Amino acid sequence: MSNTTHGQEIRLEKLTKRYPNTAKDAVSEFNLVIPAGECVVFVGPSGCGKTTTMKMINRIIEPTSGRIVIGGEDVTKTPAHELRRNIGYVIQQIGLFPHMTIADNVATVPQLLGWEKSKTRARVNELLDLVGLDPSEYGSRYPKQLSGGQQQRVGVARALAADPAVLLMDEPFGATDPITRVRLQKEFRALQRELKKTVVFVTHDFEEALLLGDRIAVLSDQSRVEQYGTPLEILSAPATKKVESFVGEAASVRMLGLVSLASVSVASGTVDGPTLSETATLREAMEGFITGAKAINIGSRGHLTFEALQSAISSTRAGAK
Amino acid sequence: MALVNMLEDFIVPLSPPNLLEFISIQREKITLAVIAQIELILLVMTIVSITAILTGLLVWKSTAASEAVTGFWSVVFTIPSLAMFIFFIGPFGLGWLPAVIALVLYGQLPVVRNTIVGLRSVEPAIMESAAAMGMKPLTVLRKIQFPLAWPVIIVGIRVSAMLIFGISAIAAYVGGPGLGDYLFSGLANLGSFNSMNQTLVGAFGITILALIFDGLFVIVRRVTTPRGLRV
Amino acid sequence: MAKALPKPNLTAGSLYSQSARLIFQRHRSLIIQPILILILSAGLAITLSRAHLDVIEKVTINKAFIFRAIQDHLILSFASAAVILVVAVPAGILLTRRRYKKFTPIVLILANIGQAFPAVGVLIIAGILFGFGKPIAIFSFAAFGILPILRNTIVGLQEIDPFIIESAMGMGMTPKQALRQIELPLAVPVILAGVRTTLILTVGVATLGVFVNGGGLGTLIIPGLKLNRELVLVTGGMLTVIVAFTMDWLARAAEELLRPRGI
Repeated sequence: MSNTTHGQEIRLEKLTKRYPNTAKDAVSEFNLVIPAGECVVFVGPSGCGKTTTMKMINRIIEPTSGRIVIGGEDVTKTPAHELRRNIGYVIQQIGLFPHMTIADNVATVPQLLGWEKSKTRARVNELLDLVGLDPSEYGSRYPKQLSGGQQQRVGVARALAADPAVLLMDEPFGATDPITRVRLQKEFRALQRELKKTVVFVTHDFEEALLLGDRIAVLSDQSRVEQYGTPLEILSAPATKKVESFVGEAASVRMLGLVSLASVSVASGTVDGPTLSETATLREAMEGFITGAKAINIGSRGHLTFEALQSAISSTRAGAK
Repeated sequence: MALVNMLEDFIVPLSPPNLLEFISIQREKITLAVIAQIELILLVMTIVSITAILTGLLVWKSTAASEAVTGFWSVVFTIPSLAMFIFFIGPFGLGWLPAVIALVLYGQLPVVRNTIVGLRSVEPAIMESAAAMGMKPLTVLRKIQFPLAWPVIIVGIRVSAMLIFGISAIAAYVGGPGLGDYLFSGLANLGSFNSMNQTLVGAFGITILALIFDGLFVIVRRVTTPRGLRV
Repeated sequence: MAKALPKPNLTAGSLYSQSARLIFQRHRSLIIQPILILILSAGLAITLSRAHLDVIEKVTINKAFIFRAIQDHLILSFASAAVILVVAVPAGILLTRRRYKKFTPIVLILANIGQAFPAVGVLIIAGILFGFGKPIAIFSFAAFGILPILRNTIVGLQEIDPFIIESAMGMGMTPKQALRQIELPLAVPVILAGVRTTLILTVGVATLGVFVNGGGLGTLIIPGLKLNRELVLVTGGMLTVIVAFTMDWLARAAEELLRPRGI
């Protein structure tokens, strides 16, 4: 895509939500800096306030106190609808407008912003292409004529329509079947690497957090930050008992799935054995050895021995800690 | 009679000063009309419940049959009540019978529709697991499906009863029993001293009775709904 | 996301034939109903043309009287329906706005009580208090019909998926824009159904207009009953049914035509 607006930093300061007639805050003095262009995943048990926290960023839920700063600008008092036009928003229920065609759905924000018709149309086509839906085939359809996975692609396209710097996603793939979910997750990861938006992504699925997050914020009751770090940091050094229980079993094996083979040192020359690409992970290499390979070719760069893999694993652990 | 007391309590403050007197003079007649009204509703609702639930049980499995049946009753439903009553005067003369028949026809739609919707809304997985445990189809219906559909069905019966109350007022015009008589006496005696009193007794009598029935339905629904389904 | 996704197996052709079948299924009753209306009308016309009318019957069974009755009936029905809709639909929209939401339970309770109040009771009380005539009849029918239609509108608007509205707000629509561009179009089916229900209701109660000298098809039924002329009675009854069916059919056809696509 041409001239994409990259993400902006989001700074949340002492963000608090207290509902009337309740004894304690739903979200209590939440502080977090979300670096520009990164995907930060809020993960935590249901009811911990992660969704409330996210919805305060575009003020679908109005904070009781605290400050929201996006790209250096305090937006806590900006008129909510103006703020929201610059923030993409995707929710689990998708919320496509059933009486509008797919094209009209995607065109919603550009129209609110008063774009020219031809510019809007071009943008809609570009976005539908981007999410893998042929504009000529799907543009004139209505939401109920699409499958759940297709509808969520439209949801993502609609959120990206006005090229916002920030994207908020509330369990966007939670309602799809497992196969579709994995596919959407992988597509979204690829898309995000290209677009470099600042994404706040809420989920209760730790696997999803590991797959998509540049950083993960593990939250507990009242949206308290138990730990904030890269997936590798959280897996290798859980900060608290709560994080540990959330990480669950087999943390070390999961960790291997996060490190690519690109940085691993290899012996030169190819050998007789399976080949993995450089974007494959240590985990895939480990699986190769377990299934009987003596050595594994890494692209055309060289080959990896079991001993080399072992040292790569131990240096990964040390590096993470 | 409780209703007579309620008429005194609620309607009197809003109405001509002699309503209280009217009610106490007419006490016995009003009581008889109330009893006749209750009898009429109970008779009609019994017939409606049995016939409409049976219809629902017969057709729910087939989408086409269900649509045909609800379509038919919703067309009947659009027939204005005065017209409906007079169609049965020809064959049956004035009196109870045409009133009951017309009211039974009006009452069908809500009960039939809710029976079908209720039976259909029971999750197939529940019935499948019942069948898998060796229940015969009729046992599944009797022990599983019908009890689960019952809360929906009874709402249909309740809606139907409310409708019947409203329309039963007009039944009096073709000689049907009940409080509707007072309404039309009020109209007939227009200008006389008691016409407003008669009308108020008729209209509010029916309304209060209907609300009492409505309250009873809430209780009946609670008592007859399987425990696990109560909210 | 990746472009190499499997295409859905809905080709344009299958989509078309699917929707054609759907349209027929949906409209089947719309086709059957006018046939029924025609049969009833033809039956009535033939019966009347063959009948030997006595002096009393001739007073009511003649073109001028019948057309007058139908005309009055339509005036009563449409005028009271119009009053109901003009009051109930905007009130329903207002009562589902955040600011007025707190009043909806009261309205729903009142509507519940009101539904048990007999229409003819409203009419007669109004007649005694304010006198007779068409305006009184229209006023009473409207008073009788407002609460149920108001309730339908409120319930219909409440049923709109809250997440659709949330995503509209999330995209930066102002509450007004969300109401105009999203909520009202989505409420169109509810409002149309409300129009249909209102018409059926008012066409039905309009037969009672005769009790307060409001005219309408009741002017055939009541004399038929009082003078014991079955032919007059049945003519009145049949005409009432024919008018009611026709209104129902027109309203349902309008509903099908005006409903936004995609819903």
